Amino acid sequence: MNSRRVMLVVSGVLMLLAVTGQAQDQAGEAYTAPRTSFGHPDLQGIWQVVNAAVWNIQDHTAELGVPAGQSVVVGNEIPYRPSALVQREENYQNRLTADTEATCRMVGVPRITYMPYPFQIVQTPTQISILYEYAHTVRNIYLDSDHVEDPVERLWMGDSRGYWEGDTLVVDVIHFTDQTWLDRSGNYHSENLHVVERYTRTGPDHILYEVTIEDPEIFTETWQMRMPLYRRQEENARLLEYECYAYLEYSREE
Amino acid sequence: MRTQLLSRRMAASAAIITLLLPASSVFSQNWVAESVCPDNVPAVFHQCALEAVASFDPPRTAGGRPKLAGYWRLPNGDIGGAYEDLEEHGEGLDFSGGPAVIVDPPDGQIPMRAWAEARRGELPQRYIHHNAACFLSGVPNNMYHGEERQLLQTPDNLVILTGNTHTYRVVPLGPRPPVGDNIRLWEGVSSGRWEGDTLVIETTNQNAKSWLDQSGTFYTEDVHVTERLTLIDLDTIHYEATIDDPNVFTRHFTVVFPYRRNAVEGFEMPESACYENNEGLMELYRTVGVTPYPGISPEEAREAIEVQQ
Repeated sequence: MNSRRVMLVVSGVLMLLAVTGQAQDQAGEAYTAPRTSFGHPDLQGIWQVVNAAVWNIQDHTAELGVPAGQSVVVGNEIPYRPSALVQREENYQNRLTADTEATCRMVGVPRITYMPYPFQIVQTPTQISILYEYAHTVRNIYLDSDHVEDPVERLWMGDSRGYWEGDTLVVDVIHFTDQTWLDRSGNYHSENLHVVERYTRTGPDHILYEVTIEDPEIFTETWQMRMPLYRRQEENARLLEYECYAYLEYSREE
Repeated sequence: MRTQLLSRRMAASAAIITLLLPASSVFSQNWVAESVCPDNVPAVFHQCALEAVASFDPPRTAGGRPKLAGYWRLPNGDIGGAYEDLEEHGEGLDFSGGPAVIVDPPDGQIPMRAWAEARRGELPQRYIHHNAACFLSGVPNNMYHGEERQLLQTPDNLVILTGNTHTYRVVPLGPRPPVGDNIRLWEGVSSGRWEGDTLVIETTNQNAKSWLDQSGTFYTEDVHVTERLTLIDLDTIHYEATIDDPNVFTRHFTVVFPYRRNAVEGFEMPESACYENNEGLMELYRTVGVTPYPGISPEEAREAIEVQQ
């Protein structure tokens, strides 16, 4: 075998490795997650996103105080109904006051996941709780159980029901308020929002987070978001607090 | 004076409003009350529990630790009782009354320093109670604010989920790197360890912007809280918290509560959106010029002690 053929074979193998590596990472098939003591894939730990979705989930150029960012929306386009697009533009104009984050209220699902604060996943055989540093938000995801049929009140963080599909945690979330937005730029939803989240371990320190958004009142069809979650590596990593609303109240006195 | 009275009443009524959120109102009273120890008088419960625990072998996790996991309720929760005042108190405007929950010192009195006692009386007149502003309760107040609690137990952590204010505490059950002294948190920094069958939780780093009750029992950032959770029968936890802050108290003191297992079929912790729905009330507070309690620094407290002496 001459050196050129060796080079070709080596580069071919490398390409194959690169391609399969990518495919494995996206599908999460090649990696088998460690198990909890009760046999479920282990998602526990402190996680955080590293992206610019909190400002805008779509492709966007930088502006003062906002880093440029690439879309976490698969294909970048969000299929708004024409009337809803008008509202989305209005939201953008009013974003500094109309966004619930601007007044320190809860931010809904999936937005809480891509806020710039860590969150901790805790698992039991029947319940997965996600504790978020932002305004001590809590989500309790009940496994293999039914949604509340007729909630007394719409929920800021929705009603979350989960199940395991192989190594993937699938969470079905409904009963939302229409108060929250999907980012700081005014992407939004109605009370009819239906979110399906998929959490798949793709390595020791990564979870692939995939979201399907359905809301026939606002969008003409369902659409997806996708992003990795990164395990916080600091030896002293732990959740602290961002009690945003308290600082807001104290600031009014100054 | 009129403003003060109004604010006092508003603070109290706001606290009651907080209690009446759907979070705490969805149950019939269906919790386990069968127990070796009655729970109507904390001091009696405390003595009984200390004896009961000697002969009780609790159900255990795979790791051999007592199983604290589950839904728990405070009988008489926060409607009256300790939430109003840790000391024995009668019925009154905004108060439904209750016995002392202090078991040490034995007289059931909070060992306030003289300067602190004077200030304690003023605070509820001057400031909004932390829960009326939907702020967090701090430790241990959040352990007797609201009736509902869920404990999640993993080999690494005990997670305490609280119904009212919809919050959580994460208590690591093993050694963790320390948190810097300059980092101050509403819920503080907690670390847990097992002493026999008792879970002991030490908490520091609190920002001390909450009170221990509606009566203005305050503390400073120097506070050190030691909590002890012990199963005394299948459906009862003996909960004890010792509060130590020499800036405010002449000695440490200890409060005790029974946690009864919540046996409501299909119970789930509700979402309690407090601040999200509180704008009207906050606007009213702003109109009359009362503000959330800002806390008092340890330095200011120590100066007050010197002035007193």
